[in-house]
Amino acid sequence: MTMRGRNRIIIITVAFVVLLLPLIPLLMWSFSSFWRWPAILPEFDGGYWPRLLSDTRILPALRNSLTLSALVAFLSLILSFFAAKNLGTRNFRGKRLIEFLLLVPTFVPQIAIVFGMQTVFMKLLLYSNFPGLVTAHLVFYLPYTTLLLSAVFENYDTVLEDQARTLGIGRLKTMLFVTLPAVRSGVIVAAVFCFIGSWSVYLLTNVIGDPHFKTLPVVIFPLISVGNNSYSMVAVAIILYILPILIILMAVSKALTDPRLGARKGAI
Amino acid sequence: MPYLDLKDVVKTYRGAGEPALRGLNLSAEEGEILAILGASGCGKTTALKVVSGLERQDSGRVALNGQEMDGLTPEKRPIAMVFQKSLLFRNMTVAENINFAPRINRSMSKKLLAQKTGEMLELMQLEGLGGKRAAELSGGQEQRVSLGRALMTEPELLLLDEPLSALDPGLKLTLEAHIQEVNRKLGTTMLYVTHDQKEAARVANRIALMQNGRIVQCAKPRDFYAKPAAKPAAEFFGWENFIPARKRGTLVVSALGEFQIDDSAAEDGGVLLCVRPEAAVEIGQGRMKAVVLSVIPQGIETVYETACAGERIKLVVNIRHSFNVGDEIRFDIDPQMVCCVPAE
Repeated sequence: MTMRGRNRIIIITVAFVVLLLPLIPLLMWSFSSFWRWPAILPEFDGGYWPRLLSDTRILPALRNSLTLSALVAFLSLILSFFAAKNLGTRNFRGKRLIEFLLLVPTFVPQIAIVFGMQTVFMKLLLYSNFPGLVTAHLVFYLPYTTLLLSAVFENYDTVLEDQARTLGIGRLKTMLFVTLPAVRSGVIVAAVFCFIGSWSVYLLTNVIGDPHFKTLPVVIFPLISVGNNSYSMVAVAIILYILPILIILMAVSKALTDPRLGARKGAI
Repeated sequence: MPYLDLKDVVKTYRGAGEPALRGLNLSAEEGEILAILGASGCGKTTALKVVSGLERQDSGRVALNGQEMDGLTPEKRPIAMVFQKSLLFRNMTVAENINFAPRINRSMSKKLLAQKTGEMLELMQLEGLGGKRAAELSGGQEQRVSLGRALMTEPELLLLDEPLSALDPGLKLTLEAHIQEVNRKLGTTMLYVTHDQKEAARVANRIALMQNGRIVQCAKPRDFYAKPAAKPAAEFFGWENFIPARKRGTLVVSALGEFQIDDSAAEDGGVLLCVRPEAAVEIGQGRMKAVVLSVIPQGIETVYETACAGERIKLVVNIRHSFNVGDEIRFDIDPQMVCCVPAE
């Protein structure tokens, strides 16, 4: 077996153990009504899934979450791309300060910022509407994506662009056909991380967003936290919450490992 | 008017104390390979970047084939560049790399593109490798792809920035010959940057020796060996012994004796007599005497640092003759291996 094949198996095994193994008991719980010691297997009950899915808030919330997180990830990538490129490939005075400022939304507790944001967003007419919600998510995830992408660009040599331009390729085509393929894996990772971050936001969406625009966390978290639900219902809610993320991760995993789809570190 | 003409080009990088180019004047004729030779940091890569448009000069002008290049972005200039690293696009095949520019710019029909790609693969001796990934190639093959990719743009001028410096010596020689063959077949004018004087002498029709952002001498390779224009040029081409002397006409008088030097860049008066270390002949029998100060074995030859007529002289002697520190070496100087340059 080649080194590459062996590495692939190791990565898949680790991913399985770390990511999927903990989900198995959860999955079993979602199909059971009763599971107590000393029973090895739970008593089967397939009723919880239909019960949750029949909740009229779930599917719209799923759609809203997908729309919001995808849009936030897309806008973050677009808006952060050139800033991240400059941050990653150039050295200039104040660079460390900018990096520190970009970190602030990550380490300052969200709750400390959200209520201040509410006041500002009200004045800017960005309160309780979809554009405001997207902007609020961007406040947190645009700096985060910029930092992630700048780390990607630190391994990128801009001389590739010089090469393309001396071959007669204009700036836009150079970006599309040279820069993007070279950092594609990093861009995908940054987009996925941004998506996951935005997907998980509860407080911000609740405070800034339109009360009629419910996302999955806004609908599901109360189900999980309210004490009168059984473990089974909680398990169904959690699986429903993380399933889209797993599907997205599996979908992009090919793009991350396919050599045709972009250069990796040291590819130049 | 020269085909490529650089006039008084000055370039200082932001934050740098010293200019990288200090009034660079350089010209190349159509179809020739002109090597820019110089030590690291002398400004030769900056010169290429200014010609390509990747860097903008502070002052001076660049013209190609009578057309001013100033103000044109790199992609608008009819100039292609091959870098030290092959810089292949790893997500593409060899053929896709080769036809990258016309394919992306859609400057050729699909049929013509396929035909030209095939021809270029053949010219670059890469037949059968068109479908391979760039990552699967050897270093030499990578540079051939890089060269082919640049030539596919049919440039009026091809810039080569130390393209063979990362290759092993054998492969280097093969690719040097290949570059010359391509130059003969396509007639592409080439500006070839290197720090290796032997490489420059093998590849180029002319060499422009660069030092501190200026051209010190621009001449045919043999002229650098026969009559260097100044001490820096002489040093770069292996002249090591510089003895103060006086020149009158063709006669040069120094502590090492009198020499007839017919063709020289120096005016009459105080000059430096240059003696190649390999100039020692008639070892053990000659009229001159030198005392060995140090011995540096170098395989088939030994380098002796000696004291001779009050001067320190470096001599290279075949290992058939062996001397120790303090020994006296008798020798003569081959008059073909001396020249003179202006005193500094």
